[in-house]
Amino acid sequence: MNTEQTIRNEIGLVLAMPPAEILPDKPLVEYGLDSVRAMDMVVGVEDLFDIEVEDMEIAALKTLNDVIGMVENKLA
Amino acid sequence: MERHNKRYGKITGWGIYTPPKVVTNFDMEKNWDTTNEWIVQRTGIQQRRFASEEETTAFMATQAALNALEKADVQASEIDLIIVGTCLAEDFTPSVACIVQSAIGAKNIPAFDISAGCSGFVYSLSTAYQFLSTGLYQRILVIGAENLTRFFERSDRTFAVLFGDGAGAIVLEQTDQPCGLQGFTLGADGSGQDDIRLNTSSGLNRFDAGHLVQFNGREVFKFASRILGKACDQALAQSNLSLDDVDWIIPHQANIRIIQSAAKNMGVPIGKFYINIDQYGNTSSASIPLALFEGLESGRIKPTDTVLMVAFGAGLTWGACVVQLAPVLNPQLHPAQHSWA
Repeated sequence: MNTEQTIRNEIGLVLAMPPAEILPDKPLVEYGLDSVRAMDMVVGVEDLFDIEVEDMEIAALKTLNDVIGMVENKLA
Repeated sequence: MERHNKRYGKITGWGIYTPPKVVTNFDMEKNWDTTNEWIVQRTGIQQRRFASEEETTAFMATQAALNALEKADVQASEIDLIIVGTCLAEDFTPSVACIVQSAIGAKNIPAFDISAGCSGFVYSLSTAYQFLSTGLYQRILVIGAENLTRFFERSDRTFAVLFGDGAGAIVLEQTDQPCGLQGFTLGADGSGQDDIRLNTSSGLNRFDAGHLVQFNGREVFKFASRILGKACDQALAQSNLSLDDVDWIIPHQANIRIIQSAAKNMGVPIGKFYINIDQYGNTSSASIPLALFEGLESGRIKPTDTVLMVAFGAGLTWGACVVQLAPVLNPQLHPAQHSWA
């Protein structure tokens, strides 16, 4: 499974919605992401990719593409 | 874990005490900058109980203990040891356990508190089983009791809405029939000491202390959502059991979102978790015995069930224990393998 699909699946689990329905540039808050779910998403992404996300980085993760970009930067 | 030639412990009685004062989210709306929707969405809590000044930690612990003794049909004079998991006694000393001992009419038996944050009940239960398995004590009262809301009355909404008061107790009795603790894990990471801190520098009085709460919500969420699964795995490995052998996971009821996150990370349906945080909020060391009591009394948790209790808390601490509630008919088989189970 590639990075995007892995992140899609994780966000889909967090937001309890089908991963395929997450539009890449639509704000995740419009799907129901709040501060607690954002933490849930970050914990999942950290564990899935064995990376560490700083608190200051979380606020910038507004869309699926933001999360993918952040992960790819850390894995590069 | 060696399971042969040892003594076992069965939970023969359970009791609780919850203060009669129910505080709903709508009540909280009147005094705090918050809404029912905000609280439910972020915590899963709909109401909690607030202790009065007379309902001290020891008072609630005592009432829960008396109810558990009655259920077990055991006299206070037959109890060999009292262990209370609690964050906050009314005074630095004596312990809550000693006050309970006197209040229920037990004499000269050892009694002590265990301070392990919200993991207090799991720490206490695991400790009690060690005394049972050596044969030193035959009947032990294990109590989780908390009166934390006095700390949060003057803090911000983040804390004020989260917590509730209450107590739960069990009677643990030695038996030669295989049941009871199948495996457990306890742990602590003191480097996380500042993530949850109740600073008592101004004393324990509720009217002095509201602003002395230290809570790093992000770190606690990360820690909790991960440690629940890890602790469960470790306790199951100790038990030589799998999650399929467990009927219920009874987690510390801190926040529904933490439990949901842990369930997601563990790949376990949320329905396997016994959850009653909506009714009581976070009652710290009391939350697991409150849930166990409610589950047993309602029949959702059956007397033959295997339960996995798991908690985390200030310290940081964590613990999990797998408990088979009833004796196993054939010790070669786990109850889940019996046709009657």
